[in-house]
Amino acid sequence: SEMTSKCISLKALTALAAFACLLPVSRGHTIEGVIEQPMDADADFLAKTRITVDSGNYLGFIRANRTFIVQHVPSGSFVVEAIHPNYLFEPMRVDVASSGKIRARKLNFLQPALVKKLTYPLRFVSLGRAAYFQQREQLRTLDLLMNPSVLIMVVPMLILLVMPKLMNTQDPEVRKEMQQQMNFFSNKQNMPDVAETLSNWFGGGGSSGSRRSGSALKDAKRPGVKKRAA
Amino acid sequence: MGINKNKFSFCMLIFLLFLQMYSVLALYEDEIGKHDWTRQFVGRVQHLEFDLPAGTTTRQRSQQLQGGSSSRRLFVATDHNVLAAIGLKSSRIIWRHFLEDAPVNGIKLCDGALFSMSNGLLRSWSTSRGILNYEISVQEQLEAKFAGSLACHEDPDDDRSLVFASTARRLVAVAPLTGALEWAANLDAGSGENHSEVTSFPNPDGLTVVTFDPTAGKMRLHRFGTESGVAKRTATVKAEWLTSLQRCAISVSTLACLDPAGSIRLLSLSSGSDFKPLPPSLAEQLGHAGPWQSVEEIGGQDLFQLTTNSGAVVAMLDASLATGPTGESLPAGSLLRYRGQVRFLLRQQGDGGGGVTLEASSSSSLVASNKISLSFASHHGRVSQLYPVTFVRKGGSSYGYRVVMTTRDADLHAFDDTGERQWMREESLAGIVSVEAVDLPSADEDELVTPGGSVFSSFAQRLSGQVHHFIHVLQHLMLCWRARPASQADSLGEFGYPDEAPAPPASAASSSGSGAGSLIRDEFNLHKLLVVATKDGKLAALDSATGRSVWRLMIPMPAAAAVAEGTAADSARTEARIEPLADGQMPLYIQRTTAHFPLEPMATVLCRDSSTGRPVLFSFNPITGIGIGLAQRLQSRLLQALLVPQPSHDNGQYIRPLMLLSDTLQVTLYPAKTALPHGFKSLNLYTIDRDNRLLQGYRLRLTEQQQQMSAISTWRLALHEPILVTAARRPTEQVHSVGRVLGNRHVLYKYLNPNLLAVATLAKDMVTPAPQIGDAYTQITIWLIDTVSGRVVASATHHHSSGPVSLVHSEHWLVYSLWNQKQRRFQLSVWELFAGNGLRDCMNATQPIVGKQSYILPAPVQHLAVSQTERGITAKSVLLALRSGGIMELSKAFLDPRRPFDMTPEFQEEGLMPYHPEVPMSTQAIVNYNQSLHRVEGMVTVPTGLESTSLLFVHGTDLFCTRVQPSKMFDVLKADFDYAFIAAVTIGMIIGSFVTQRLAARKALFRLWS
Repeated sequence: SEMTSKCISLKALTALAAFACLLPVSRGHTIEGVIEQPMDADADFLAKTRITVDSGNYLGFIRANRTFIVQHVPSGSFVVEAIHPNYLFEPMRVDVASSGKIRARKLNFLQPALVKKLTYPLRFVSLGRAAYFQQREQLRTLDLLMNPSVLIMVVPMLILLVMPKLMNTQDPEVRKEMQQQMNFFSNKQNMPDVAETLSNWFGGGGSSGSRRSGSALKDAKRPGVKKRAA
Repeated sequence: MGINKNKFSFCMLIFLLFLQMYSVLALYEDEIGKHDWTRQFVGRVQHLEFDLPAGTTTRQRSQQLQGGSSSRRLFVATDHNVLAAIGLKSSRIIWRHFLEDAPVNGIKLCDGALFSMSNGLLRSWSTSRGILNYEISVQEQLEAKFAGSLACHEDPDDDRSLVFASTARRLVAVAPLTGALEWAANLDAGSGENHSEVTSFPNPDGLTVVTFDPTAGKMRLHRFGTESGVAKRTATVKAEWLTSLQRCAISVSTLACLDPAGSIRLLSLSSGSDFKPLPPSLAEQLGHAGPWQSVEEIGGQDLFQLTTNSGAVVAMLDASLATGPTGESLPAGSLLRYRGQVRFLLRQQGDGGGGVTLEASSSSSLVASNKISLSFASHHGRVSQLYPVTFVRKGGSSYGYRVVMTTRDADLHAFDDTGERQWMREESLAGIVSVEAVDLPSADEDELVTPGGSVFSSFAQRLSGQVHHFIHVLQHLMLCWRARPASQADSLGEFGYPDEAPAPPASAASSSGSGAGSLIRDEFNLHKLLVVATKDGKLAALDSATGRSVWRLMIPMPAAAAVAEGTAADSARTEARIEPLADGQMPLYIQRTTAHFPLEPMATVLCRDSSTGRPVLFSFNPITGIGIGLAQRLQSRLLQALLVPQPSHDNGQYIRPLMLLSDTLQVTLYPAKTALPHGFKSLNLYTIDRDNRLLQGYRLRLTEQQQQMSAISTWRLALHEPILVTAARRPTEQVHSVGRVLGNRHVLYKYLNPNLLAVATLAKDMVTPAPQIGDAYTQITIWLIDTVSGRVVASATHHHSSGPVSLVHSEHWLVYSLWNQKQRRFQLSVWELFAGNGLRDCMNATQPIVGKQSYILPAPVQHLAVSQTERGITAKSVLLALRSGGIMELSKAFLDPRRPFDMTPEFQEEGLMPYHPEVPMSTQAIVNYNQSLHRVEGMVTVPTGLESTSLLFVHGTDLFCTRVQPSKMFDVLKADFDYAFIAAVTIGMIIGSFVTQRLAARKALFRLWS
């Protein structure tokens, strides 16, 4: 009989507990904190800043002494953010136990279970002004010189200018080689003709006959050039 | 070789495009306000307090009032749960706070501070800068929905003021200055979890609090003194007939309530224990026996304003007097206000159909003018609330007054005592429910000639079109000339609201002269007209370049004769008004664009009549805002309305008919006489039944006689789960490329089904075990449904997830955001659909290949939208309206299910970024920089004439419009393009080449000579 009475009392207890759970007697908790006013903030800073808990379901406003409270927060884990249109603040995660115990930790979306404790009452320090704007590019000589395309152009040019100075130009063999190279450069055969390229670009669909005639013309010219060069 | 070069340059171009796509998208600082504008609103005013409290004028106060008028302000709490201070002279918002998503129960000025009561929290604010003084939780126990009331007790004799704030369970008395709790009392509001209501009113000794439990129909009275929380009197009153305390008005000694029949019952707060009906003698005296529409307390001396359908009567109703209250017999259509020593008699003439005039008179000799006429344009509708305030003029010899009022369209007006309007705030625009962008009329001759028809007819058409056009231009020039002085006069600040002078009753629409002058399409069609419909039944057009209202128009009520079923008593009790449809939408349809020049453009709005619930259609010219014909009330409820895709050319009207499907499956066209487009055979449409969690498809087709349309139900899909949101592709969306080239030169063909509908539903999560604390998890299912066949193309379930969900569907992809309950973070998911096997399979509907990927969204999001461009060549951007107030532009390249975990050269060649779990957040991607937009209700993107650019219009409490360029502005030179530099370099190069050529020739000559 003792057993049964114990059982009954246990049952009653569980029933009571269940009943207590069912009753909507959830008490709200209060999250407290302080916000650091940035040095360059204007007079409206306090009025324009708001504290949002759980993406704005619970709100806190800043008092003149820079402290804030967020009331009626149920137990759970929430992201607390300080929002100002011009300044950035790092959001935090705040865990509120049903007993009312509150701890703050670093917000980490990638590893939500990782606990890196922060001070409580919360303390928001500005990360700086939000950079909404791009800087306009200004023409600076150094930037122009350091531009890769400019570098590609300038460096070989320098080499071209400096290298002959370094080489012994008196040596007949070198001289001959250079002459050959010069000939190579002055030879128009290897240089793309501007007119030809343009006609290729714009009249790409032109008849092959005209192109052939063009090359024929060039062939006719070439001996003359050679003659003059000789 | 040349062809190769061509290819190379083309590759370079593509490469450059890619480069641009990944480069930072940001504004330059000097571009602020150049292509964007913001208009800030507060919403419909529900509570208003003047900085100069007039009702209880103590000596100290009246001294305060004599201060400069520049510092005067009014405090408002609105239906957007906004608390704000507005300059009484400037109409600007001095400060503004967005409170919790709970109605503001009241605001009061007490001892120089502003108090607000909402969500069970009493807050005290500094009036000048809106900084919080203190915040007190009235009740510790949490409730899903707090009731609340706020009262201020000011005793002129002793200097002790008290602020009383109460929820349905607890009352606190607080010293206004310090916030120290003087005393608290528990109110037994009734049984536990019911949503009890509470109202309170200060009386000479202290405070009367009335709580009401709607389920039990019991009312409890508590009378408190100022000293302690021990009630001086408590009484329980039965009121089973009462539905809500909102149908009651409380004053010093009387509670007046409306019963369901519309008659008034009175309860004496000092001695009564039961409601008494209005004595017949008084009813006679009031000149109206009922039914009454509403009862309101005014002036704090047991004065009530009783409103009927046609007007209002003010009566002093004192239930404790045995002889019965004294009423004032006033003509129908009058409103009366008592404030301080000045009595106002405000008479409203007309019912909003024509011009509306208000007269104010006063019995006090101190007031300078005894009769003023307040006039405002008819598109505001009737007056809905009047807030007069009196103040002592400088020197203290006379009183002056101001009248601030809200009209039915939610606009806020301020008048001075000469009856001149000082300003108007277009608060109606805070309640936009639908937006449609309209191209402005252009001078393009090509559009004047219509295809089809003989040479002569088109020649004649062209000639007449040109003549029309010439006349139009002349008229336009004349208008500009005439409007010039007017436009100079109305330069009142940034948005001077040049609201028209008292409009003649004939002109239903009112266009400000300066607005009409600039309404020409610009070169790239970037300048458009945004036609909006608000939830109060108002239409307006906003200039997309400046944000000014070009015209405003109240949707007229259809003629009363059309009411078929609504009984006379019904229509008398509830005043009919235009409201959005049951799903909160009020769709706008552009039936004829501006492209058919001699013909006027035509738009139609679909709304409903609140008294009968019947749909109403109203057509108007979207450019001028002049109504076309009268509003039509439809006789049957609608299942769906759809614009026929092509305009009908038949009778030269170019109207795209609106197809209406009634609940009896009758198909009608609007306008009724419009012919269907040539070759029209059938049309598929679907309906979403949120109540029954049902999707249904219908096919409309012509019957054999080619005259009648018939509808047949083709499919039904029961989802069995509550539907959260749906999204479909925009019908006008252009898709440029049908495939996607992979790194290995294979092509993935996009699954471009134009009839896809994405649906998100919510259900209980049966898979994931419930957490140790809190409620069980829910799950979100996303469905992609072919709306022609009713086939589920794809679906996926997110376990342990909940809303808010927002969905966006474009081209072959779907992006949505949801809340992951287990990981406690928002996530953004993307689906991309590709045709199976890399083959385009049009006839045989195969299941597409669905690629899915999810990302962590580090900031909560309220809305999603996608950029739209004219040809769809430009890369897409997803626009995220963040809860923190920013609109972030995120390149679609970041949301790509093909983002690989391991990078290979092939993927690199394709331009894919390696997968990263977090969506990159950058402040430079916030297109509205520091113009934070809270409570965003919707985002609309509109393609422009420039392929690179799409217009973005964001509406909610604030309006914002900007240009979005997902791939930067590749088709127009940048504003800071250095023409001089480029010209100088080119000329320099040409000169250089000539000089060097000359030099080279000389050198060659010398060499030959040598």
